[in-house]
Amino acid sequence: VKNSRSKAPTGAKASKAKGSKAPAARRSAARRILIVDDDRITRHVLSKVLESGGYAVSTAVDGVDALEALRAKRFDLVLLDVWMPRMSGLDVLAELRASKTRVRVVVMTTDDTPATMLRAVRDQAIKYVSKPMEPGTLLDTVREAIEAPAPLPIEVVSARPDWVELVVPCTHEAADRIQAVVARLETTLPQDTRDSLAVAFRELLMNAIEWGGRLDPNHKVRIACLRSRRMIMYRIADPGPGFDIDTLSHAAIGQPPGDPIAHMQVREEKGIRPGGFGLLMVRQTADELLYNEKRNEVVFVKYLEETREAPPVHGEHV
Amino acid sequence: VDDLLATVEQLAGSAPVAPRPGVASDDATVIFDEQAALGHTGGDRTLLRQMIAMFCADRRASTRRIKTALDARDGEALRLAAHSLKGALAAIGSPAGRQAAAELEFAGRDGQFEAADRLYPVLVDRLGQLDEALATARLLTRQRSKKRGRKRT
Repeated sequence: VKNSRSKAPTGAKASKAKGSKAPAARRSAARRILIVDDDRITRHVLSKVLESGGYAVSTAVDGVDALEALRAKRFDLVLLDVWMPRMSGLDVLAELRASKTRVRVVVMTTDDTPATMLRAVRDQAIKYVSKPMEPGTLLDTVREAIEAPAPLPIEVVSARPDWVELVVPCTHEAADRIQAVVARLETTLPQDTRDSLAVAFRELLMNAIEWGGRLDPNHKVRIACLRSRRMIMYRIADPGPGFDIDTLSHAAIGQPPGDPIAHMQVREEKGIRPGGFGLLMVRQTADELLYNEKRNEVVFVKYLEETREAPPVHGEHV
Repeated sequence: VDDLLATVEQLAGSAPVAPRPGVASDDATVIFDEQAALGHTGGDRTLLRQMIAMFCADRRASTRRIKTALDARDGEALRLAAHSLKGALAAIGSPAGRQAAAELEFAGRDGQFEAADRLYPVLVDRLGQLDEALATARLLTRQRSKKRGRKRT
C-alpha cells in the first residue's frame, strides 16, 4: 500500500526492555498489537504506553492501511478506531468477518451511538472502549482481550435504536460485553437514572445467565431493550425451568417484611457468596416488573418524563 | 491544599481550568484540563508535551480541512475532519475544544451547514483560548522556524 505508514513492530525495543520489565511485561513481549487510528496523537500515546508494557506495536492510519497490515503479518490484537478516512473501522470489522480472518479486535471510539456499538457487536468485536484511556486501563484492556478465551459470538437480532434484541451465550464474559453495550444505549438520560438502570439490567441478566442458563455456553439468553419516548423496557428470557419466589430462601426478596436479612444465614449455610439483594433492588428501581408463568422470562419497565429526548422511532424519521 | 491550588490556578490563568486538580472534568466549558491530560499519559509530562507539540503542528491543517469541507458543503468530509480533531482535543485534555469539534461533526453528519457556519468560529475561538491555556501551563514548545519542505534532522 503506497500510503502505508505502518512501521515495523518494535520487537527489538520490546525485547531490549525485557530485563527491566516486570514478569507480566516480559510475558507480553511477543504479543503484537496493531493500532488503527487516523489521529497521530492517539497512535503516538497508545504506542508509547503499549511499548512500555512490553508489546510489539505497529500502527495504521486508516482502514485500508489496517487491512494491508493484517494481510502482511499476524497480530494478537487490533485496537481499531471507528471513523477514519478511506475506510471506517466498522467496514474493517465487516471485511475481517467476511474473509474469516481470525484476529481479536477492540473497538475504540469517542462515538458511543447505539448504531456504532451494535455494528461492532454484530461483527464480533470483543470489547468496546471509549477514547482517550488512562494507561492502566489501556494495559488492562489489552491484557484481558489477549488472554481471555476466544469469545463466543453474540447474535444481533435487531439493531434499531428503539429496539435492540440480542441472543447471548450464558457466560460471564458475554454478560460483561452486553453490559458494556447496554450501558451506552441511553446516553441522553441523567447519570443517576443510567446508573440505576445499569444495576437493574445487570442483576436481571446475571440471574438469567447464572441461574437460568447455569453458565453453560451452549445455552442462550434472549434480551430485548425497547425504548419509547416515555419508557424503557428490558425483556430477558432464559432457558431455565423458572423459579418459585416462595422458595428463594437465599434472596432478600423471598423473606418476610419483618426479617429482610434472614437470607444471609441461608446463603452462608449453602456456601453462596454474600449478597442476595439484587432482585429487591431491581423491584425498587422498576416501575413495573412482570414475570411469565414459569418465571423464566422477565419484563422490566421504567417510565421516563415526557420531555426527555428519545431515539428516533420507526416511521417518524426518514 | 487542592482547593488552594485550584484557586491560584484560576487566578493565574486567563482561560477556565478544571475546578479541582486531580479530578478529570467533563465540563464542556473547561478549555484545558491539565489533570485529565496527564491522566491520559499516566502522569508523564514529557509525553504530554510531545502530544501537544503534535497537536500544534497539525492544528492548522486540521482547521483548514474543516473549513474546506464547510465551504464545499461536503458533509461527510466535514464530519470526518471534525471527528479527527475532536479525538486530538480529547487526548490533550480540552473538553471545550472537544465539544466544539463534536458539534461541527454532528452538523456535518446531519448536513446542517448553516449551523456549521455558526459553529466554526466558535471552534476557532476555543482553539485560540487553548493556545493561551497551554502557554500558561508551560506546555507549549516553541517551534524553530524552518524552510518549508526542509527535512528534519
